[in-house]
Amino acid sequence: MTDTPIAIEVNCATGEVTERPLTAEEIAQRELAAQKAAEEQAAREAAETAKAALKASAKAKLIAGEPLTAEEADTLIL
Amino acid sequence: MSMTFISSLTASSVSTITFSSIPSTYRDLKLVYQLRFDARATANNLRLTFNGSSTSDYAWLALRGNGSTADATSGANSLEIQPGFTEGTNSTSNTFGNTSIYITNYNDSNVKSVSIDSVAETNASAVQFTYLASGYRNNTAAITSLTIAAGDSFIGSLWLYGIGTN
Repeated sequence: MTDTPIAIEVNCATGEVTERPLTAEEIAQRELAAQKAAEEQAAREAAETAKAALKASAKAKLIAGEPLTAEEADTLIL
Repeated sequence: MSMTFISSLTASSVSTITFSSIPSTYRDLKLVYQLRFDARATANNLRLTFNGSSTSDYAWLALRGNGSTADATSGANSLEIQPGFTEGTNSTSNTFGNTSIYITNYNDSNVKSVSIDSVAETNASAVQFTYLASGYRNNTAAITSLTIAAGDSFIGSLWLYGIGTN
């Protein structure tokens, strides 16, 4: 384990393998990518949580014989 | 179609791996790897990019299952394709995330599509995933390099093959 992230590259034409520390620009790009990936993940999880809540609400209303909202009904239609 | 070995790499605590100067003599590419984080406790996704580019023109769609639940997840206008989970240090020793990535027509002037199957099996109650995904890059340039990267360092091995002839 090192403090500076390491990149390794193989040149498929020559077979040469090079290993080097990431540049500051590459580290910044990597952090940006990780941040965006985390944001995308959070958005997906929020959407999944909201959908699960709608499904639970739809199920409860069906059992109780109550009318569903359009969004709740959408969760039941394949 | 014939399958021809192009190159392989062994990763030892690196966070970025690149196969560069990929020959244009094949029709498709197949990348196979088994990787495991060595500085991150929990399993996490890796990132796949082409030609050193992390522009927001990638997309992916995945079906995931962990033995008790299944779901779908996706990314659009993304900086990368997510090719599945790999193990962390909390996982059973010597278990790896195993992934196969198939890239069709990597030389032609159309957008690029990818199919992915990946498993992270720990023989324990920690994260275990099967992952079946499609990937896409809205870019018509021939693929000359592939990069697998993560926010944390990892270890393992990768093999790149050419399929068919161009």
